[in-house]
Amino acid sequence: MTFKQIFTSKIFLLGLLIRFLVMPFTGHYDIRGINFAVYNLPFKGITNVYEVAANGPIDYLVNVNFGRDYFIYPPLTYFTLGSIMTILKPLYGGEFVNWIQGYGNDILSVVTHPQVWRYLFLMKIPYLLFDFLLLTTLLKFFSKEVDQKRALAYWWLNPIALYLPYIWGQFDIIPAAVMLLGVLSGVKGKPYRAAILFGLSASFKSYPLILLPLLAVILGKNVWQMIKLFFAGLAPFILTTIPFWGQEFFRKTVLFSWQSQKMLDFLWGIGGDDGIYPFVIGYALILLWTVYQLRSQKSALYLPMVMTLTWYYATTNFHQQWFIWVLPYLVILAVKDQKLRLIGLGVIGLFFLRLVELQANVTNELFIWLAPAFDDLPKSRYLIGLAYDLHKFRNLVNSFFVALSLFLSAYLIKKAPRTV
Amino acid sequence: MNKLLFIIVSALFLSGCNRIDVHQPLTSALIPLTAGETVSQTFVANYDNLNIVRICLRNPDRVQTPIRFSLLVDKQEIRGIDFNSSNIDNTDCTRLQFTPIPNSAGQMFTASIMIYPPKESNLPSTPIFVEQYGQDLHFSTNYYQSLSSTLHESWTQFVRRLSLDPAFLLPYLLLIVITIFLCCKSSRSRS
Repeated sequence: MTFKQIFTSKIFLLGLLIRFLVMPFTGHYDIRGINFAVYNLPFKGITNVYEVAANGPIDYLVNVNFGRDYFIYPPLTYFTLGSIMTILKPLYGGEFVNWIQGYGNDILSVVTHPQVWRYLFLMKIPYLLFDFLLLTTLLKFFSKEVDQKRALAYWWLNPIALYLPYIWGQFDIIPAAVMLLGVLSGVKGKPYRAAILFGLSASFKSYPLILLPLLAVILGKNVWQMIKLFFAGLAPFILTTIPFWGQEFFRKTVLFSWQSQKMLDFLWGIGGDDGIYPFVIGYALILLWTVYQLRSQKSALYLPMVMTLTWYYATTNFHQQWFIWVLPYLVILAVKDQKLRLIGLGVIGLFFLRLVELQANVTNELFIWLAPAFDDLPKSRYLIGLAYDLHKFRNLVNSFFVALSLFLSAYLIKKAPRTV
Repeated sequence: MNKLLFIIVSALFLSGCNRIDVHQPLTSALIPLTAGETVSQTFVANYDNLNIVRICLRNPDRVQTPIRFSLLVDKQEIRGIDFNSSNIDNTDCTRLQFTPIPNSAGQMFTASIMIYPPKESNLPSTPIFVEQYGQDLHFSTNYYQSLSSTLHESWTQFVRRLSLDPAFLLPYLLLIVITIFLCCKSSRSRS
């Protein structure tokens, strides 16, 4: 499909309309937290936000509500979002600075601010740009127009892809788009470009670093090239973060943050004080399978990525917004194999079931910008709790997710091409 | 399935809403509270139907000891809740909900937390903590409002706020109209 065909298609315009309709009126409070760091570059000319987080005044609303360790993302996130905010600065207006600082502790003034809808809309513009990038990249995985149209619909009208960036307001679509571009480069036979894009993606959120060895194994022709690819992938991450390594706050909250090691929270005891990590076991098995079966199978590059990420979700108390990392690959699978559409529906169902019992204020609370009273409506988790034990419900959803992850992996292993 | 739906829908319409009123979120210190001790906080309710006080208690060592929450007006207890320290939510504030007080607006209340004296309980080896800021506790209060009233308020607030930022809203509406127009045009050209 050409750009013109994409941009004039009914599906694209419908998806765009839905995005426009929700952008100004919804959002998790986190979007203020993220932009509380971002605004330092365009509005104050500060390039080291970690310095602000470590030493800034304590009475900023965001600091009070989220704590200083809220500046947890790698610098490229703040520079990218900050650069776009610089371009859009005239549209934000000067009052934005007071709004983002939160008027002392007056939450109501923040939520009902006369320009709050404008701010929410503008803060989500970067997501729209990367969403376009992701969409156009995704379509390049298919040569037939009928498959491209399916991919367009599966992504552009996907409830998860609409919900996470635009209703919730999370920026995970940025690393997801950059990594997909990397996978496409790998599939098209450009291994170094693929590795560098993985590294760039990791400079927004570090998860692609886990996937980098898989890329190196599949795209490297020999051990030496695998090592070179691995370090080519690490380079962007190192280059974009090295200026901040000397700072203790950065090391503690970004490089070695507890969130980046959540997959190690799940431990099986094996006696004494020793234990084993289920995530690492699964990851090692996927890596070994990749080494023995997928070497040089560049068209299958995304298969171990899907398996690793779904296993990660299955064995980790993951944050719901992280789910967008795997979504483009699930779309590719659903387009290429019609039998997997059922799995896709299962994933969407489990995603939203998990969402409605989360403690993280991600249902009616997202509409507080329309009117603060939305925060006071009975929460979905409260309603579920009236009908069934909430903890059991949550564990049931988690269990189904593990089963789905294992089934999908087994299915992909069976169907995957093999290195002779 | 129908029964489940009935329960959920009934709950939605009968439960109403507990709206935030007073909120003191800042925290700079923890006050230790051992058996026999009391800590209290005064506040003025802004609305009628006060029904929840949240106090940020911390029980890091998971001790089990009986506690009494009292809500007082002029030193007279008008609401009281006995609970065990194992019910303390260490990651959030502990919600103490009671029957709504119809004429609470403008009244001064005192919320107090007392650890029962030793003769009535086992003396905890480690104290319960209360989050504090300056002379205040970390606390919030809610008042009850019916669901229909909340929804009505939400709608009227939304309509009123539409006129507050015309410099954004007019181009935004234009963008929506153009997108809808293109969408319809795309449908027609296909048919």
